[in-house]
Amino acid sequence: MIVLELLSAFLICLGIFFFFASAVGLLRFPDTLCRMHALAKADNLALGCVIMGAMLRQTDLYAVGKLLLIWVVTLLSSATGGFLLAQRIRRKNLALERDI
Amino acid sequence: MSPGLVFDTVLAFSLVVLAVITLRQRTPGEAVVQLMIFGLLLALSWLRVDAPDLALTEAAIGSGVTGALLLAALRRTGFGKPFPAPVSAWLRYPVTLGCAVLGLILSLVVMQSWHHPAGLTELTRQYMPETGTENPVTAVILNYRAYDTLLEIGVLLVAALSVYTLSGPASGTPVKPPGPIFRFYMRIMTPVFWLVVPYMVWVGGRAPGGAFQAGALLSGLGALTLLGPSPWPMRLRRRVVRWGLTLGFTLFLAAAAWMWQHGNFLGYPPEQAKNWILLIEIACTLSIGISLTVMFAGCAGWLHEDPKIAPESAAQAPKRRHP
Repeated sequence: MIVLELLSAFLICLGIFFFFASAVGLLRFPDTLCRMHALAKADNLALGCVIMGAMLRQTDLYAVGKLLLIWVVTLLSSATGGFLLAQRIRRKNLALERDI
Repeated sequence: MSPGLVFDTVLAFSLVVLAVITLRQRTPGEAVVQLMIFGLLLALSWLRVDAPDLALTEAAIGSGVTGALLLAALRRTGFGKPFPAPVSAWLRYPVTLGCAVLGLILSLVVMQSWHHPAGLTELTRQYMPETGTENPVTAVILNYRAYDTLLEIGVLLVAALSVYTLSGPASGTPVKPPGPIFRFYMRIMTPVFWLVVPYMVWVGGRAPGGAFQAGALLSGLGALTLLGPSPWPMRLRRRVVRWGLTLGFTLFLAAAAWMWQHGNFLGYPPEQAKNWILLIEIACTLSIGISLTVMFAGCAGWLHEDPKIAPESAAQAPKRRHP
């Protein structure tokens, strides 16, 4: 039990670290495409770690399934949102400007 | 200081800071994005005071739908065009002062009410078995105070009808087809929406959820469908849209009239209350979803015509399936 607790805490801390890194990236990267990359990383990796950590703490499978579903839907949405944003940047040739 | 208190303090502080930042943006586009972030943090703070129903509604309607409506409206006026010159200091400072005083009075009132914590909670609990629902929030919204909800649905209907009547064709640039990844996303997510929306209505009977949250989700699906060629034939006939707009209010009003004939205005017979509430919630979900989608389409200028597909890429776009 204690091993699961520790593993869960480690995963959540790892997720928080990735969230922090992606926030720094969002603020510091020079153009929109790079910053979008930082943001998508947060959705994929950081949320994944946090959700895995939270899944280890659940007692019923139903809650685990719901958490997994949240992650999968966020992955799909963030990938699609990132694609749409990048497409708009490319079409409008805004990649090198600071603001879109 | 407990960790919870630290978190709440940081949250409250960032809400104030975000509100100031939102007000100080140069362009409408940036201001809308800040407003959406503000809405999400506000939803988080509702969660902190144990009001998950409000948190869901704030996240779905306050942040998501409002943001989408504002962004759609900005398609006409431009995201990046700076705001016109700020109002003069003679107006700005008195208004700010007035808001601050009002906020102070309100927070004093809230602090006063801490001394009388019970309020109507006991009374609400006492009659729960007769309300036909196990979720106290749904009981208040659709049974105890059904009158308010009826009027809210009416307000939404009037707003949607105004947009439906007044919205003209799109100005602005034509829409380019959003590409294969968006189509793939829609192919997967549309059935998920169709699963989650009825679940949201049903779960409102015993846990956070209900017509407003489900309607907001439905309108999210509607807005996504409007954005690009969807693999699912989801474009509704105009007659269906008009009936859908009025369905919730009409059914609610008819139910109220029927109950007036057989007893009290909006006083459900306790043994049938669950069926009545479920029926009204389903109708209202459809109406809220269609109303908000109509508003989105009207704001963007897509209501009375299809989104214009740019000519050079029209050949690659799959044909939209008209019913």
